[in-house]
Amino acid sequence: MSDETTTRAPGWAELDPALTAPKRLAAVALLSRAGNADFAFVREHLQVSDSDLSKQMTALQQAGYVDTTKTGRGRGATTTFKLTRAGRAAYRRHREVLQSLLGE
Amino acid sequence: MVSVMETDRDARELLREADRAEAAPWVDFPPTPGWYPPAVGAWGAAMVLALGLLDGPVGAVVVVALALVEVAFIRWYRHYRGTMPTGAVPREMRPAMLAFMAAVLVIVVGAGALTMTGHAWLAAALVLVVGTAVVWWYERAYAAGAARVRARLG
Repeated sequence: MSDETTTRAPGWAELDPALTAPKRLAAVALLSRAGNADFAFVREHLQVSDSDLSKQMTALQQAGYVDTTKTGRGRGATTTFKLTRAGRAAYRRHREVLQSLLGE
Repeated sequence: MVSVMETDRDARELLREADRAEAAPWVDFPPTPGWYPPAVGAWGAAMVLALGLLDGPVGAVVVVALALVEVAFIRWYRHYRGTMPTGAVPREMRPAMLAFMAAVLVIVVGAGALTMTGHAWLAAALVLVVGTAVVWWYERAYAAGAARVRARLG
């Protein structure tokens, strides 16, 4: 599925550009039902590599949709993601646009 | 410009993936350790004995210690699971959760009544046995509900 929205029917343009990538949408959807989630949990669900997940989550962090917390050092280090209030609102809007495209 | 049909399919696919992702914190979890149901039963029994038989500072210390054990367990379980689900429970899992909450309420009320009538040891024994059984059942019902959610979402 392409990230492009410019060649699609009207309505797709209303989608949040930060969430048009399916992996980023899935990451935000997952975090919308979790207080927070560890890097490994999100990676397993999305079935992506470490580097790909880092890339996607960095994009979401830059959009202000996700907070990242790192705890510990070395092998015991854990990276945790949490959806921000802005991220939650953006996801809700994005879902509504997708549903409206289907007439739901 | 892509066709409307393709647009619809893409939107439907994106929503489906979002639904799967929303369910993930509820349905993707590692196996619960076998020691968990008896540990919960033993913890409940210990709490009944602490509340029913111990008075003064000793009782308070034991109750606080048991509460701290619970907090430590929750912290460990969050780490073990990788997340902690929040928000709306998938519909396939609601009956088990409601039944579990009802069972816990009955156990608490029953144990409280027995303890207040001077039967703390009997209450503790019942909490140990019935609590263990209820948690054992709930773990299986939760897993079965999660499997139904995964089957629905594909």
